[in-house]
Amino acid sequence: MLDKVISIISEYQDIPADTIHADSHLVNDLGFTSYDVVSLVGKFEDEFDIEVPDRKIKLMKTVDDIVKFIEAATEE
Amino acid sequence: MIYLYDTFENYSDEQYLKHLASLPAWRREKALQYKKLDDRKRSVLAFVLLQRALREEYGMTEVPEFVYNEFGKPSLPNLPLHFSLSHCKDAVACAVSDHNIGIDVESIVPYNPDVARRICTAAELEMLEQSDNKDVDFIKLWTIKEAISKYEGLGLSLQFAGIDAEKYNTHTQICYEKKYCITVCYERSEIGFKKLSVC
Repeated sequence: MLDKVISIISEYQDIPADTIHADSHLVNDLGFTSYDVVSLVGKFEDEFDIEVPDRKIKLMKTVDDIVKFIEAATEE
Repeated sequence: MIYLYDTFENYSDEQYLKHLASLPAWRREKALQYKKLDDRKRSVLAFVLLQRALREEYGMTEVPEFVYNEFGKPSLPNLPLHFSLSHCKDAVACAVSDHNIGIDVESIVPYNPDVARRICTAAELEMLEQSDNKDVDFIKLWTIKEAISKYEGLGLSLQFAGIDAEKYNTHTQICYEKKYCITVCYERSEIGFKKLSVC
């Protein structure tokens, strides 16, 4: 799951995948704007066939936050 | 006052390194956290704009280390001044004021209905549906909501679809040549723009 999430982020933000880690911060490390974060969430929704409530977006600060959310959502 | 820089293509690596070396250690560390050089440059430029704005508008020669609220809104400790920074691919902006202020600048990108559905009211979605220029109209809406969110100091915690923009003073400028949109949310009406070609 982590590799897939990193791959999507890498493609979206044009950052080499091997420089993105579980603890990478979307805004402070990877240069995401708020618009990018919301847009990226849409890509994860499509890719993993999940729904991310608005209130959960603010909790997605790091790559690992996204991975944990997707893992929980796809286990349900 | 709004300080704006949008000639990013002219910002050389040499200028960047000179600016980076001149930053206080805490800000240099933050800039160097970014993986991409362009993001580092924008972060440095945003701070350079703030330094210049505080010097020219308030006679300040040093920028104290920011403090942050629980939602990440930065402020200057123990000073009756407000500021807001924003950067996107095409521009960097800094707003300073005696009063609360929030600013957002975003590049104009292709309209994404999925993002729109998430952040727009039904009336806004209908307006976009009928728009002949969805790309610009949507990004304008986005910057208005983001500027309000930064003004309120709540970041993405504020539900964008629930924002009533009519309740706030906002001013938007669209730069068609450089393809970006900038909105400032402010308390008082005396907002001016200074567009800088050299930092």
